[in-house]
Amino acid sequence: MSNEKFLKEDEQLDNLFRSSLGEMQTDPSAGVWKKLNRQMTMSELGRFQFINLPKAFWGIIPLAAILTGVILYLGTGESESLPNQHDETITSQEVILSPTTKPDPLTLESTIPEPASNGISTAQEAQVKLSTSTGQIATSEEAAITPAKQVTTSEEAATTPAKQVTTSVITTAPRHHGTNSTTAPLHHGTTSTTAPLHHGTTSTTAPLHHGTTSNPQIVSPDPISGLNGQYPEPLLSVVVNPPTMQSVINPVPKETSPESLRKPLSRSLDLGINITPDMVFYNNASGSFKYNYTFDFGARYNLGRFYIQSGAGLTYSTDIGDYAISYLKNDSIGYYYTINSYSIEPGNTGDPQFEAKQVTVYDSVQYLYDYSTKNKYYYLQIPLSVGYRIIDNAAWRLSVEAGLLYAYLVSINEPAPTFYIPEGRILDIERRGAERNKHSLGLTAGISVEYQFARNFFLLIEPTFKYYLQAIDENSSRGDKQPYSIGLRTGIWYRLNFQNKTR
Amino acid sequence: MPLDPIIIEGCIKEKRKAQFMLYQHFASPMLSLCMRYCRNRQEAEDVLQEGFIKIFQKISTFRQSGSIEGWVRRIMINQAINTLKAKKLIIIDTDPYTLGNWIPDQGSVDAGEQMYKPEEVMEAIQALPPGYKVVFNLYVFEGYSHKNIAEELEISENTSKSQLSRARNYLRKSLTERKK
Repeated sequence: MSNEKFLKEDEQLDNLFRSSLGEMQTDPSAGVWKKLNRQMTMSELGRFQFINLPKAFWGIIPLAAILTGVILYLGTGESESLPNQHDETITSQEVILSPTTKPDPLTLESTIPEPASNGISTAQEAQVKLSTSTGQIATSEEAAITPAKQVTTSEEAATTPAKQVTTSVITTAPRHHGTNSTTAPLHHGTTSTTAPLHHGTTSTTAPLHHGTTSNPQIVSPDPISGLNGQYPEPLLSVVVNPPTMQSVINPVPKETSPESLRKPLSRSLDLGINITPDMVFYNNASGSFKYNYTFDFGARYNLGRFYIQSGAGLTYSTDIGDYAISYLKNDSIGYYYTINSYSIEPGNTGDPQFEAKQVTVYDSVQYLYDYSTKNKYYYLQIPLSVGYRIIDNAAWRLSVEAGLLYAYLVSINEPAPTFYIPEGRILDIERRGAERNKHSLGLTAGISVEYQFARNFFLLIEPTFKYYLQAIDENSSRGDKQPYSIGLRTGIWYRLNFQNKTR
Repeated sequence: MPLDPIIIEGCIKEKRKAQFMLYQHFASPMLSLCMRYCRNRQEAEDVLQEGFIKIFQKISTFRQSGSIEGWVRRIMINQAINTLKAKKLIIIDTDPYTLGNWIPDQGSVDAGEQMYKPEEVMEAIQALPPGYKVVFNLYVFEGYSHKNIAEELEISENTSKSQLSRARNYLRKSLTERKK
């Protein structure tokens, strides 16, 4: 067989396949779209599509954060104004009420079951009626043992209310069978006790004043019964958990008037430097994201648990230079056979035999080439946010904050594409990437964790979220919507206390 | 029937309904295309699925001045080739077996005399070794030149030519045996 015949057969074979399969259509099974749909959904979820929520939602976030902070602040206003020592006196006690005959809201009776904690011996069957409190227990003991001193100290208490808690003990019971009975007014943060007369018991009584530390009312005891007529029997049993030694020793707050108990909000200024890598999601169909890096200087004015924060930062952002380059180039577009000669073999069927040569055909073919360069952008960023500290203790601070972020494009570096095509000719270079906006405004939110690693120095770690209120690019041909970013701000902060040191 | 540009716009906006309409429009011809590159229907449907994922992800880069069908077809072919490469199924003999040295040892298949069902032709092409299959498909159905195929598969032009010849020879054998 000659080459010509082979070529003819090749052509026939190719045509056979083209005609049989070229226009063939095969319906896919129904499961293909189901799997495709599921995969697309998972892909969309993986690209943080929650940004498609209504725009109003993103405006509500900062407002909700501020509102939450206000509510938290109002809810904790009292604890904000009271010093910590209060927690160790009345408020820290577990008071268990037991049934009594005549509950009198003004009188509480307590039993101290463990003499080791209050110094009263069980051999004496000490049952001490007291309102609550810890430091007072020691006072009750003292009152029982040294009545003369009690009177003296209660007088002092009348003149110096601050000492009432520990010393305002007034003897109200006569000495029956060696018992001691005392009364004292009850105040928040103070303790006084009341007790029936039993053999070998120590008893103190007190009217109840809520949250005040007014001068104690000295009640004269009945010389016969030893009772003052107001508290003939135990009215209400109160079991007080044994106080700790720490609470017994703790000093009483010096401020005793309601006004003095409310401290002014602490004020301070924090200064810090931070660096923040951000993943910016452009929210387009490709689901691509890029990295931004921000170095910023921050200042924060603290007022109690609230703070307002601002500063200035420099952001480095990169982008792919998206260019479409059209060029012409000679290329093979096919081939044909040219017949140089033919012959007819006499002994054969008489068919002509061709001597052919394959000739490749070249033509100018237009190509499109995408070329990518790296563009660099620098932004000046100015944030303004408010925050609230949820946790603020000696070593740790946990805060939520939200606010606005203004960014100004200060520098652009967009290198031109360089392209060389051997034996080709460039027709057109089209920039497909859009121009960047000069100004942009965004919403920010974050949850910051600060750790005090040295005096007045804090280490900051803050996951941040930013949502840009407008597209970064002027041209939205790429389908870019408002991008958003997730970042991690880390830095070192220094606290300047200029009033009411809180630590 | 041309595709309505509104469907493309909808796909750019990630509207699921528009994506389904695009899928409906191209699924059948693209599955046939994929089947020519794969060993069976199941493999072809997997390629089809992955191909459409890429189409939906990249459709924002499609330039509406071009042909959407050509663009979709191009993505499907690339997906099929990449799948074969990933499975290491494309093993092309790089020994240049030039046409000048190539002498077929089989007789011809006369398409005029023998009628083949499309299913038989499809089975024959699916039974080809992957390397032959890709070269044959690109040359016969996509109209690629040997130079284009060589660039696409990173092989020499002579290798492409020899693979095509071997593929044809293989198909001749296969079709002839089916008629016996």
